[in-house]
Amino acid sequence: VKHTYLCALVILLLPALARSQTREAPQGDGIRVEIVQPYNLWYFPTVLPAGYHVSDVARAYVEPPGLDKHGTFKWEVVGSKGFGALGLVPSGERGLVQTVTKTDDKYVNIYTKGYSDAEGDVTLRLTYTPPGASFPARMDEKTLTVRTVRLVIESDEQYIPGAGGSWECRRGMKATDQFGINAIPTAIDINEFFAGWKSLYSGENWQAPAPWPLADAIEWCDRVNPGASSTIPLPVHRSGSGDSTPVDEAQQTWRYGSMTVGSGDAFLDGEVNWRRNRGYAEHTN
Amino acid sequence: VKKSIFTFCCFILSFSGAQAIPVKKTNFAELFAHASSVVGAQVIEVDPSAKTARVYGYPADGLSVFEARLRIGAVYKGNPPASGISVCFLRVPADPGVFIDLKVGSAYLLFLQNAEPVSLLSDVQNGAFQVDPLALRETAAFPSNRIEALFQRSSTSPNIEVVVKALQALAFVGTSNSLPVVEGLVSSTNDEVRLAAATAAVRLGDWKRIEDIVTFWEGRSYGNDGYIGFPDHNLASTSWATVGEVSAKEASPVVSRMLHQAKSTRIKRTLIQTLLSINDPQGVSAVAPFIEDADSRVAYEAYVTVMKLRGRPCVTPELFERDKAAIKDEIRKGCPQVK
Repeated sequence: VKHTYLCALVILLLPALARSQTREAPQGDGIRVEIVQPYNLWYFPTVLPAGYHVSDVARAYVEPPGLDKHGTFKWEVVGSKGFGALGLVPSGERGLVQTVTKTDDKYVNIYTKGYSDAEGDVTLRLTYTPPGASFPARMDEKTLTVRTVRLVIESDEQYIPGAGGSWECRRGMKATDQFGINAIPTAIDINEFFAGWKSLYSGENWQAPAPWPLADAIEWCDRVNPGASSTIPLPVHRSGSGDSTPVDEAQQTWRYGSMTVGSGDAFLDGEVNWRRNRGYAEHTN
Repeated sequence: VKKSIFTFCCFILSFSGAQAIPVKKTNFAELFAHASSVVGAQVIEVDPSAKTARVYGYPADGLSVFEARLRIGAVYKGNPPASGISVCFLRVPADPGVFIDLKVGSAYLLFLQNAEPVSLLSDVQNGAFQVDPLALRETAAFPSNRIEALFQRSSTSPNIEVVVKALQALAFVGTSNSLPVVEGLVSSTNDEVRLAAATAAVRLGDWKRIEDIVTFWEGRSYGNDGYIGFPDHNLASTSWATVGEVSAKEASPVVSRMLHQAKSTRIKRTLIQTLLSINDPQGVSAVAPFIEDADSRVAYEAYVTVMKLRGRPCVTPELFERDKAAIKDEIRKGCPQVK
């Protein structure tokens, strides 16, 4: 069997040897291995927004051609975050593992299970052992960053004059990756959910906060407006008497991956609080 | 019944206390790519009950003026307690967050999906942009190279809203030919016109106008970090995005100087972003002191910018907070640049 493998290997190596006369000669035995993995990977706890990949098939590219059908392919997830962010899907088994070894099969399924703490903290390592005993194993590594979604306050409070001279507030928000700087590549559905709504003014009848979904968002602004001109209490002019008297407040959780209020995954840093005073509304964190 | 309840709920929700508003930036390249025809239309009559508007259309050949009915995508009433007036809006199907006020006499540039001259006005598929009626008649033909002329001419309209729209449009479709028109409005006494003009000037390549935008926002800041803005959130957000996206190396000294003068968190963050866009390693010395900033967002963004300008990876905000002392120490010592 060993001799059969060696013969096959010699035949496979012939074209490469012929090419080596006109190109820069490959080092040593001319066998080279490289990891091919096309997609940028994302981690979402429960949702799967369109246009994002949470799994992929990595494969080994082996030179000379044809050799990739033979040999042992050992795949590992290493790096400071490593297996905390990325796992391998073993054939015929459940769950993700850190190491998979395959014979005569250059493919491996990868699946995200967390997100990176630092760029490039996940490494996919392939150790390829060519068939037969004559050639040493060789290795390739690919550095990866598994991304997830963070809510970033893009602009500080912006006030717009509203009813009764009071000010509504708007705050620019943006979906980024976990590093808070890089914008997400594809728009996602988002929604806001309110909890802990609290009335702070006896007898007030300001319209209770109503959560809104938004389709295909990357950037948006969150608008909070005080009561209308016929409500109790009446809104007052900003900087007028009683303008900072609180009327109500709520906690807001921003989620992505769903247009259903309260569904989807919560953004990192997705908790925002706001309060409405008689003269102005404000985000309080 | 269900549909009526849903409609009623939507109506009620539209006046409730909080909502997410999409921030859209007009992308003319995309509009043109999806529109097989671009025409001008001036509204001569609006009929809310039939959800239609009668318009004069100015088709691409610029010779004939035709009359057609524009089907209005949605008719909403204004807030009754506030004004009691009824307002019609043209809703752009491809951009459901955009509602354009349809007033008799107002004129629009319409990006259409069909090329049939009259029937095409029954549906505005891709977008619409308000222009000056006189400018529309004077520049009736709309191959793409004439659109800049239309908006240049619209920028002289007596209607401030149209002028602001024209400046916003020129920021995206204008060339350096539009700079004199835009620069002439930077000193306008109207705040919206001034900001839109300075923004357009920066987008058209006059990065010195960054200073006008920053000065403008400093003048409208309130309290620690609040700004008195405009109902058109796009105007404000585009101005900040424009400054943040400047990439001309020549702008680096001005941006660095303004960064060191800035007191507002918002201005600091934007100018740090600008220095990252400029991508000049010299910017590290201007940004590095802000890693010590009291505001955690400024500190983290300064850290990210320094690392990226040095070609090094960065960590998440959580790890930055946890290991801040060590990270600052490492940056003070100076990291070797990764090749």
